[in-house]
Amino acid sequence: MTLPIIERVFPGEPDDLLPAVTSDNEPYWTALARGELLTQSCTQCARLRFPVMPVCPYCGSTNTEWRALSGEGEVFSWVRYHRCFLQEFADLIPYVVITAQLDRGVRIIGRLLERDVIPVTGMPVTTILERWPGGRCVPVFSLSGAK
Amino acid sequence: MKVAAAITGVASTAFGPRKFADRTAISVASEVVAAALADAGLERSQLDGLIVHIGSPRGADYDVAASLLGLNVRFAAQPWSHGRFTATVIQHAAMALEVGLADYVLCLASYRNSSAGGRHGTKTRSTFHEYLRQGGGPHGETPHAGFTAPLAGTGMAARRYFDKYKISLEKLATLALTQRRYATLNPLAAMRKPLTADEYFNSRYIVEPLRIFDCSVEVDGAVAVIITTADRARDGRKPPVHLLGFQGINAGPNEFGMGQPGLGFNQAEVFDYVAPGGDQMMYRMAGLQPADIDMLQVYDAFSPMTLWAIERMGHCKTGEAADWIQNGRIDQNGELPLNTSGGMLSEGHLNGWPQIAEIVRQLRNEAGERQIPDAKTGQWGTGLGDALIFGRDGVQPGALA
Repeated sequence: MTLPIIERVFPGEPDDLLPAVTSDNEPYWTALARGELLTQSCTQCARLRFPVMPVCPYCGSTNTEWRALSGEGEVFSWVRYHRCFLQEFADLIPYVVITAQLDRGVRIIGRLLERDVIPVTGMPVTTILERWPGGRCVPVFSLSGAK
Repeated sequence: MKVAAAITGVASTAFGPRKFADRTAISVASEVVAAALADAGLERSQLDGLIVHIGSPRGADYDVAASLLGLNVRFAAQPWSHGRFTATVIQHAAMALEVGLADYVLCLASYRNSSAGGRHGTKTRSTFHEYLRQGGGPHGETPHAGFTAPLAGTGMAARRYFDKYKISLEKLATLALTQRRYATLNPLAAMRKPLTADEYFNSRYIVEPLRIFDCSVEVDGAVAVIITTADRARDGRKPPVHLLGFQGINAGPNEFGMGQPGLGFNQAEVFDYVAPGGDQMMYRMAGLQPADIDMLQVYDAFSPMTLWAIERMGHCKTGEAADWIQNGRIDQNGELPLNTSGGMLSEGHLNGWPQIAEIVRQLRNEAGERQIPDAKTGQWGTGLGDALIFGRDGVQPGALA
């Protein structure tokens, strides 16, 4: 399940906007960079969880395996930024950030590529990966091509 | 279960953005500590406990606060420099008194948001590194999504809440307008110019669905509160303001400080949150019910947070607060006056300490033009469930039950 990757061009190097890669989350970030969106699945209670965490919040088990997500989902909630807080996003104002409810229950916060829409809860979205300078990818969402 | 602590002294500065930009937190603290001691009729040497809320770089950490203010204490503490611990600070002071760790605890909030290095949500803000923590920022920040600044977390949760309970966003205006009316009656408030409904509805969005008047005003200022045992407080210069009941801050996978349980922020579970009504620890301690509360001050960094706090404090059912606040209920002569000094939206955001001072002033009948007639009890609460109930002198735990 490889997701489409688009390049994101910034004026500078926005490394300080990305979380540190740790022993906990390294599989997540490494997979994103090769086009896969992974999350953890508890081998004891079978529930998915996100973001990466060492213990299942539902049953307490530390045994997990990584599962790839299709990236298909829907708008769960959204906001629109009218003020610029980060220079890296200045050229996008006003932009929309959604909470996407992905298949299998996982919710992820990410930018919506379409800026001129009024999102509605339940609207289908698909996940696209945006490659940042330095090679890491972050998930963003799009209404086009969503099922 | 009993609690036998009381506020015996209080003092504050006036509040304003950049008001003390050319001063230091210690310099401002020295004034309010002296004023609180005078208010209590105490000597500096009698303070033997200190809890500082909000340390450097905005404020002064407890160690330098004690040394530079000349305080010799045998109990000191300082929580994480986030606003959510206002009730926790007072609870810890009360517990320290109860077990004899101290006899007089100074709770000190003296800090300058003007020295935070920039707006919340910007990279120069001193706390920006917290947004990159494992698990995300303290307000749900996700910088690589362009999702920073605390109001975004509230906005994301509020959209779910308003959709779920089919609430018109326009109802939020009542909070900004009511609180501004209170602020015009408060000489210490940052925002004293009257606000009209037209100005509110024509104001710009910062992070939609929240407008600028849904956002608190970050201020510089200081508040000092001296807490002692109820017995000692009886010998004070002013009438004691008794702490009748309290409850702690909730944390866990389903708790999000900028929202309400059940709204599904990030991976918090989606469920129908049932507001707990009067069956809560603070009411049992105080021997009171929600209807016995004469005034409510809540953590209103952004206006939807007020709705969630009202519901969690048990004053109405989940999803009803936006209707509940209408038609004068939260006005000065209403059923439950709310954020009577203007709250964070208009008096200024100093993490709730001005509102604690307001409860003391109201229960001492010192609130001037905004005095709530015959106020016997006052409550502080947040959407995370932490809370304090105070009673004016003569109102003892269970007295109204």
